Amino acid sequence: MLNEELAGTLVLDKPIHGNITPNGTSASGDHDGRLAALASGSRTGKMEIIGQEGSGKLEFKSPSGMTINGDGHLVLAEVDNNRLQILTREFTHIRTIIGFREPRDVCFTKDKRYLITDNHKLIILDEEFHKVEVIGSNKSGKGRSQLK
Amino acid sequence: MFLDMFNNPTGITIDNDDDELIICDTNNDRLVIISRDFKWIRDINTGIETSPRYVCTRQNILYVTSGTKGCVLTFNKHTDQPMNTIPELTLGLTIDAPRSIRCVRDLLFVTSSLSKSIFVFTIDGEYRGELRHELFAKPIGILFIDDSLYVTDSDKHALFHFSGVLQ
Repeated sequence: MLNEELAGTLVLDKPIHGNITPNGTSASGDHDGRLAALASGSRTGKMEIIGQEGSGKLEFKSPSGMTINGDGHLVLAEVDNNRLQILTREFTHIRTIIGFREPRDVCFTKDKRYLITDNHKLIILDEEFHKVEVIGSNKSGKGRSQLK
Repeated sequence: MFLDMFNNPTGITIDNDDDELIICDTNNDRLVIISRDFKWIRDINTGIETSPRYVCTRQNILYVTSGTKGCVLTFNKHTDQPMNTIPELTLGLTIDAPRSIRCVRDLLFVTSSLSKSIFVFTIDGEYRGELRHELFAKPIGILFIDDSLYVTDSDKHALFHFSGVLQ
């Protein structure tokens, strides 16, 4: 269920244009310096891999877009599990929201609404995941005036 | 009635400066801009066969990944006019099947689902390299929270968490 693998390191690779210059004088120089710490092969602070293929808690099928909600929890859209999964940032399962077709991305607005792109629709849910509005249908189209 | 509005919409972003929501209407080659009460405001055409996938915004610029062009398209969000392409076409560099895009600390991070990496550019489009991990199979979504980077991988069916990436 919860796999913590420490194999491998995230590295910054620059295969096309030579080496990073971490001490550049541009305004973004210090940021690049921080990235260059990766290029030099030093480990990131911590690295975890959560989940494996499946439909249970903390398992995933084609996870795609994700966001953070008002509780500071991670919200992941799973295209092939047709659901959202809500996790704490320590990767404790909070909730699973089912009933989608192929959710691809999710956002959380300051009005506490979830927006989910799903199939040919934009689904808007409230904080408790109750449906507020659905824009579009299960059939593709190129409307616009309908939305006025 | 809101029938038949979209054709495979994908990425969504929130523009808190203008209180607008921006949706990539991928197979209609456009961005759809709606208000925070979900009324249609306008479309921005992204160009023929651009397949806009994901979008982020910084100041007055929209950064949009093009699934078919292998690049990031930029638009001035006040005039809706296209601006430069990232990476510059002259570099001969393409982002193979780009997906999610985020702007953090004046850097753009773009997942390349086929290169199995995360491209890094400055906001002006200068290539800074690619973040790679040997276990990446098909990275799609990225999210930065504090000093953590989260990456969803749709072939590995997993969520990667890296801390200290931008410390």
